[in-house]
Amino acid sequence: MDAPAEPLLDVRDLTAGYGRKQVLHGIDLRVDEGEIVTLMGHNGAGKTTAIRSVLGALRPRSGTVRVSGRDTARAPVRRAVAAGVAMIPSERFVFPDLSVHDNLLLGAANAPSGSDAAERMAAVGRLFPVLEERARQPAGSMSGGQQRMVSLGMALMARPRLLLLDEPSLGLAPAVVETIFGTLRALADDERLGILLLEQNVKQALQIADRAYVMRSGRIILEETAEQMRLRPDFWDLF
Amino acid sequence: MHDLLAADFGQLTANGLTRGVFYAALGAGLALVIGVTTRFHFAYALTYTVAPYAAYWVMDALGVPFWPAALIGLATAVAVSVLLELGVYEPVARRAADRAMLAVLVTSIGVSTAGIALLQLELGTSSLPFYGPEVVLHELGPVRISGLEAGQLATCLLLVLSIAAFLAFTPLGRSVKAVRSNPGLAAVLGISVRRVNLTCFAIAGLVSGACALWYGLLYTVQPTMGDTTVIYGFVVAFLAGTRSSPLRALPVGVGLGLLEQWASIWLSLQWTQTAVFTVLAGYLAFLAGKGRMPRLRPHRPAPLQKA
Amino acid sequence: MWINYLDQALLLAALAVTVNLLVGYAGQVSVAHAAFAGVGGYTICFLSGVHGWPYLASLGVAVLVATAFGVVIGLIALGLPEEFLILMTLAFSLAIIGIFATFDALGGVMGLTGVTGLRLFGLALDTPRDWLVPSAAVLVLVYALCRRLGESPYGRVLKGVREDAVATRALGKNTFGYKIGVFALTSGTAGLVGGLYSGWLGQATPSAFGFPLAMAVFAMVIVGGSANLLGSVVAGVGLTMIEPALREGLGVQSSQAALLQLVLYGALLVVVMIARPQGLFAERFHRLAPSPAGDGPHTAAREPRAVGDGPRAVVAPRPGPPAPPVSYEDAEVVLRARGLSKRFGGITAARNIDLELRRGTITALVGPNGAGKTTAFNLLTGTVVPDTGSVLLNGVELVGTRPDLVVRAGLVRTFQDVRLLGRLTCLENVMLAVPDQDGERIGRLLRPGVARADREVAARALEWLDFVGLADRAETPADALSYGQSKLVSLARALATRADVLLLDEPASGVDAAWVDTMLQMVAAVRAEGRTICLVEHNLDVVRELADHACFMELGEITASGTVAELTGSARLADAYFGAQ
Repeated sequence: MDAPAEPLLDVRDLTAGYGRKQVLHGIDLRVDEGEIVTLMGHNGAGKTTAIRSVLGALRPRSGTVRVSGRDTARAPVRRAVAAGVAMIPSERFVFPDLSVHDNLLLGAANAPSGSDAAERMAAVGRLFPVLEERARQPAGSMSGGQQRMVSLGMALMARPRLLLLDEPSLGLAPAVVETIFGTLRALADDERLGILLLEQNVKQALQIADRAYVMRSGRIILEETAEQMRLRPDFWDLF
Repeated sequence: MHDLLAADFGQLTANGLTRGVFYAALGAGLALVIGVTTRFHFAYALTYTVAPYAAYWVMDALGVPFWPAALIGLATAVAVSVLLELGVYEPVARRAADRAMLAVLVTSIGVSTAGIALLQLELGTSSLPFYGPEVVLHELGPVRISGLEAGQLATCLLLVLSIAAFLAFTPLGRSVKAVRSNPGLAAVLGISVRRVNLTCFAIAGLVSGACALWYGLLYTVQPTMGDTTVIYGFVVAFLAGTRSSPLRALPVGVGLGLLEQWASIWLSLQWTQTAVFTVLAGYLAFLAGKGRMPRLRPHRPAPLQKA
Repeated sequence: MWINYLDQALLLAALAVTVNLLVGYAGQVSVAHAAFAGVGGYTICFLSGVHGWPYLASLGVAVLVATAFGVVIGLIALGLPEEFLILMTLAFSLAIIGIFATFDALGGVMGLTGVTGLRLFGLALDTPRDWLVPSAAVLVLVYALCRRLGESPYGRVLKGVREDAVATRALGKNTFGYKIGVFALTSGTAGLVGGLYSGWLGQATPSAFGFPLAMAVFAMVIVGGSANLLGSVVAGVGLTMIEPALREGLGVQSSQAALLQLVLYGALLVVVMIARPQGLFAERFHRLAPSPAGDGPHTAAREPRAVGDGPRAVVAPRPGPPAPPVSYEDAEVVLRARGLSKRFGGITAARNIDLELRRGTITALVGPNGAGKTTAFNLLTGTVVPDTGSVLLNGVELVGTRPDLVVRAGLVRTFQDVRLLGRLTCLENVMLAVPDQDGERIGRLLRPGVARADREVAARALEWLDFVGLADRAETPADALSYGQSKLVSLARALATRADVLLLDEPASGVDAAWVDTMLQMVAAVRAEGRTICLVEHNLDVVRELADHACFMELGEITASGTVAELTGSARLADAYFGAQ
């Protein structure tokens, strides 16, 4: 896929870490509109740190992060959300004791101005009818797959243009993963969302992705199209 | 010692209910602070004491009538509470990092004691003549209840219900619940933890101030009035659960209030503090025992089910 | 008047020293120690003042009663999260003051007053000057005791509890026992100080031992410096003298001065907490051998190194069981786990885990995220008690054994997130792990020879630091290390427990590429020592490099085992790891 003049997400030479622990040693990433990019690598390679930096939840030490030309890494998280970035963590991704309805409304807490919460809620309801049916139920009482839908719905309430997803398939049955990944592909195709997908479920991620990066020990060691990656006999040497 | 007459019992029950709802309101306010901000807010005793002192001072020194003075007292309590978070707890917690709970608690005890000493320096160490609306006595069958007690009961009930409604129906209340439920996710959504914390402290200040004003009218206004109260608040908050609905403080508070009043049939009134301690110690011993005892129910390995 | 204040200052300093041992060293917060002092005060006023007991006898009873209260409160609250301990001590203070004010025998709200004519060892204690000697003696006694405990192997364990109780327990220390011990002991000394305090006052009143006293003592501890006993003495005396200074210097009335003093305490607390949380006198980091002679760090550092063997183990393995190049199949089974299962609520975290670890070999657990690898470690080490199954280490059953005893039996673990004790030096971190130190028991501490024994412990610990190549960082506080170095120190710490079997949780994750190789060499060198290793690691490069044998985990179960090549050759396992199409 050809890159347009200005990518949706443009990360250059990003370094970041926690305390004395440096996690990222200068990484470059790009995500375009309507594109699904998967970021792979073993646990602890620095994938989550990368997307937390993009969101501004972790201040980078050096390098630049631009979302449609705007620096989101060095501002409060709500600025990034207002600029159209939404992130779903890999664990604890709902407010378990709050109703589904409240969870979704919280997703819109920092939505860009001009977006109508009721309208977004209706759109999320069309995408995941079960959330509308169970709007009054505490999110923590739903099944794992439904909680994933709540979290995706929450992210969509902010009317994002870039979705950062941390292991959305973790702990889900394969059929549920397929449904959710299908939804992601549709969002990218129909709404031109850019999606950065962190996945250990490499094969399914490659089914919907356009491009793939591989990280190891805080560095990007490989960038390929998803198609090239799919043709590999196995992935052991990348992990 | 006492004749256990039905009338006595009814009166004690009525007193216990009034007291209980008072404890419930205090506990609900404190639970909000502890559950959401994780600050061990001992200076709740200060925001409590400061309200009637401020109200008394504007009445006495400036000649302000009672109700406006009470409002000023309330506003002072809220302001002190918010300033404590902004000027003391937040910087202390930031400096102490992983030992924030200890640091905040110690500082909180310090500020509270110092603040109350300051009040005594200004207004003396003895109790203040704090009077408000005229006291009317209502007779409900064998039970007598004063207008002040009715006012306190209504106010405290209203406070608890309002906190519950605030959390349930307002966007800010939803953010408060979000931070309480999952601070990590709230941060990712860009919800401002600081704003939420300040909101909680404002509410806690309001609750403590309102409770203290009624208490001052009913009993006395004196410097150490906050000590007992804040401990009751802590006990109610922890027994009801600092992360649960404020409505749960009602049964806990009323339970403590009734226990305290009924206990006074057999025990001298000062023993009642000990009764509350005993309840707490029993609860904690139960928790400790539960944590340390081996699991009682044996487990069979779950049948394997694989797709 | 000044002498009277000096008496008070000495006694409050003694109380501050006591509370500092608990709060500063062991990290346990108690608001109740002012109340324990009250228990002591009321005991002597009741026994000596009302019933005419000899002062010394009633002081003894005061210590016993206060200790008993401390034990009961500790047993209830010390096993719970810290907020419950705080709550419990707050409520206890209130309740005990309520009791004081209630009993007519204790004088009710007015308290027991007019206690005079006390005598100690034949000395009459009437004037403030008479009280100087006992007050100073108690301060010296309490200071000596707390210092002996705090600046010793025992104190090192207390600091470990403060920094990270879980990690300290995982080095084989009975942390709950230490907490109870120090809580009870400080309760007792608080009772003793209270007994003197009330004797000096000539009375015990409910209001004397309330929150203002608790707060004053906290102010002394924090201003003087947490875990610095001398700081507490200085701050205790200095802060108490504010009141007479206000009265004499500024002519403030006596009742006003006391209040003004409280205001100043509060302001000081806030300022110190924000501007200098470590206090005026910061906690001291220990030199290698804490000898009173005050060895310079350099001589001390050189001496043990001469005792230890010179070259690094990476080059030449340390003496010990030589490492014959055994094949995995022939190696003896050291640890055998059978049928370990664990459910949390409705979720099966571990299902029927069978695992064998063989002497002198490295076994790796691999598998996708959330497969239950760390849970397996928790089950083996007793951190989590399995629902079913058994773990035999050299034929001894470990299930049901306390985690610290599991370590003593010879099975130690490291943590994914390292968990070094940040405000202890690297050497102290490793010294803490050395088993069977006499100096860690209160009873043995009072005998001579502790310092010499501790120098031996330091020498042994330094050998292990040398083994991982970090002997030159021995005196660096652990939280000043780079991440890679801290992982090496945690390995040295595990080795120092002398445990036969090491469970390493992600030894190479998050470590800079340059350190990964060092780490690999270290782990291989440990194997060459004849120890048995099981590791969890996501970096498959590391696994390929090190593991003699690997087990594949998915959904809480071990579903395959073999060499790494065998596992990565399986299409089914590839699907489990990378997802099916």
